[in-house]
Amino acid sequence: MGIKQAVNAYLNKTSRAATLAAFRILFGVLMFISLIRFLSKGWVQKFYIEPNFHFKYYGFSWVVTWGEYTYILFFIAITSCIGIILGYKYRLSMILFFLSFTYIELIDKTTYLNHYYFISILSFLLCFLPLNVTFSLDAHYKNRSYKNVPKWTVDAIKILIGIVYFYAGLAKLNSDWLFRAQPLKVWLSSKTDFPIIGKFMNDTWFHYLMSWSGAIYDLTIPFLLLIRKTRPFAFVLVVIFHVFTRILFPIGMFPYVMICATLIFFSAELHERFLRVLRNILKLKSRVNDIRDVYLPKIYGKIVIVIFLFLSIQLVLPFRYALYPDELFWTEEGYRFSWRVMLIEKAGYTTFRIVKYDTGDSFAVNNKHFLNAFQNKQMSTQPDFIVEFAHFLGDHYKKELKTENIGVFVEGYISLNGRISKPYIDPRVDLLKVKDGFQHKTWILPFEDEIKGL
Amino acid sequence: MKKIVYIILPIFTLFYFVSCSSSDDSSDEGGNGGEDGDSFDRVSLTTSWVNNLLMPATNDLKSKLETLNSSVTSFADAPDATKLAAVRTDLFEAYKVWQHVEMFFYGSGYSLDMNSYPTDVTKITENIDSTTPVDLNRTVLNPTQGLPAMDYLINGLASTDNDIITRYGEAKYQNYLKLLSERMVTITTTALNDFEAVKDTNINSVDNTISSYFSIQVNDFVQYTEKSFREAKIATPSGTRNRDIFPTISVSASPDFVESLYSPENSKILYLEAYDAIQDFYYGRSYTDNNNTVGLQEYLQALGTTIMINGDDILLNDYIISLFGNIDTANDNITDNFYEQTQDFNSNFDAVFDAIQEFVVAVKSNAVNAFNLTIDFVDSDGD
Repeated sequence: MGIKQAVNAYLNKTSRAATLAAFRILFGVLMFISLIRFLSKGWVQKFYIEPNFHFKYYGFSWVVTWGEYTYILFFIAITSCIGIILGYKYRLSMILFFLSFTYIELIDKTTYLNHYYFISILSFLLCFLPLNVTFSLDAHYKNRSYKNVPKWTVDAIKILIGIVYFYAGLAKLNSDWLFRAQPLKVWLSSKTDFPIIGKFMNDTWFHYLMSWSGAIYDLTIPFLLLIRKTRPFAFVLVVIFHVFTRILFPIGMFPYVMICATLIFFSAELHERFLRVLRNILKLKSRVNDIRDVYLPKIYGKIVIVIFLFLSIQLVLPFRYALYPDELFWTEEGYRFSWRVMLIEKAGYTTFRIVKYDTGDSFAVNNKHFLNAFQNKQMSTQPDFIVEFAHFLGDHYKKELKTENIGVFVEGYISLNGRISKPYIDPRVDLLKVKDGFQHKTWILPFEDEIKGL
Repeated sequence: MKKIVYIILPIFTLFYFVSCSSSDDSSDEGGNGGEDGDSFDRVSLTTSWVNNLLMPATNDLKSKLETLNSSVTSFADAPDATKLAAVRTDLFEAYKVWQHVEMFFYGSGYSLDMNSYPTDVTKITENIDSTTPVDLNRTVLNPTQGLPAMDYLINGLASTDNDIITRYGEAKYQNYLKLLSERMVTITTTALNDFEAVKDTNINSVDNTISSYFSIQVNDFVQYTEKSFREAKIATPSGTRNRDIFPTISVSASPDFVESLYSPENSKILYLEAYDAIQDFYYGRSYTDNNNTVGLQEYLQALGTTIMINGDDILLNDYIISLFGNIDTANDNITDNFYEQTQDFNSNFDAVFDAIQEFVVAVKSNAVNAFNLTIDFVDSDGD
């Protein structure tokens, strides 16, 4: 049983606990800053309190906004960040962080970002990992710390980060990205004010250079980080890449999160040095007497299985799009949760018309009566938003018009990655008669073009 | 220690870049948003809109309305056929100029007062018969005033010219006609003065945020083209909204919704004036001398925006010019009197609608997108 032995041998390998502790502190600090930043921008009010209507993830309609009390969710998340940084009641803090953060994200899918999803699943993973067995208040109070942790606990985080990059790279292997330099061309063309390289922003060769280097970067960076010799070079690339995207695009904290996350690939010495510097700066004195070798969780086997399943799902989930017909970028069926970042630029609009069947009268709906500008933008280009909004309008106008006998029809045009705009949703279909679900949405008009690639 | 250098160096670079680029942040994420990101000078564009289109057109409208007002006064004081003809001519002249003004005041109270049609004949009669002074500032009275109401009062009040002239023997008709005509001069003067007060501020308000003048005017242009031009002038009276593609939302024809219903022989000319105004705005053609200055066209050319059609990327500007060509062709198939042509479903109107619709979609979706106007201030990773 060679495989079994190999697996066992692997499971018995160890890594330094300092790596996880350093990761814990960086993660906690970044999440703390992210949440404070979110609050300071007034986004809680704007996205979770003001809107009359929220777009729900399929199956999560029970996650409702807490209105003014949404601030409590943020308070819980921020407090748990402090717990995470200090390593105080780590498991509880991490679980609370995962739950509160994920709850906030589930309130409205308008705000979906790959990076929020990354935070959610990473914090889920971290609930199971021993990030608090050294350099933490937990260790301090228990008067017991560990020098080492099982190697797979560190590797699980590396694999997740590797998936994010590699899958983002795979998604770029399509004809629009590689052979039309779209959508970067659309985005970069309007950035000619950029210092020094601004003058290239309108040049075709520059669009291609950026597209190709982006794809190569995403595909190779996990491996360059894994190999010790290329690691410093890889980190320089990570910083340059993320800083560049940070300046060009409004992607908030994501670049910093990724830059800090990739530090986990570095050697344990570096993390130990980091903790030592921290200890000196903060003038901390360790009074832990009981320093043991390897930390082993009590329910070791079960945790290994959970993490194995979790990572397997992460590996498979992004390929679910293959189960749907027609072009993924057009229908967006199976698009989310798959590390497809900056791949499509959809421009256009979607308007709704309420038809009274008994009289044949109809009128157009002003979306802005019900949605804020951000919701309206997201709704206009994504079919699951469109059908959900149509049903909302149906309920609203059935009450207002005091009749059940109405239909909701869509008129809309979408331009995908600089193509000519074309009708998006079948205008002959009464959307009140269709339901959202995992089946292919037959009421999306065919793309009638092809984007080759993965 | 070498490793540390590898890490410290990029981190310093990071902070250096991010601190340098703080001005870029603001346009992305709120802040004051003073930047637009590209090298095209948007102020040259807003300046062109204001100085080459808005101001000259609105001043011309004001002078045409003053001319109309004096001919109305002389007609009302001593009605006869010659003076009636003069009023008609002057009204038509003002109505044509209005087509160049509306997009700059799109959706404003001023626009609604000037050109809400179909005009409400019942309420106009009530106003004329009213023994107390009528407050035309009330929004419910929008369709009892302005150009369409004037059109009714001098072209549709009675079936023959003689009968119309006879009506103006009565003081209440004279007074109401004078009231409307004076009011158009007043509200146009007010609109002009109000704009003059914010003119310089507006010209320099060109950032990507939804509240900048640049952004508002681009949006108003799109709205105007869609609602006031395509819908009001073509779709509503003919009842057609792209029947092939959107059968459910095409309805029966409503010829009573034709602009200048009581002088329908002018309806195509008014429509073509509006179409001319739309092209002026796109090409940046000056109202006074038709010289090509700065318009949306120049901006799209500077950006080099392309659009992919049947597998080929072509310049968006070239595509839009070809769409104007399609509209021209479709326009040739409709004749002067829209009222006569919209009695039933008219495939020529359907064709005009289709042609305009393609233009609307190209501007609303592809061009606006190229201008990189911010919808809202929020993080995004482009998905």
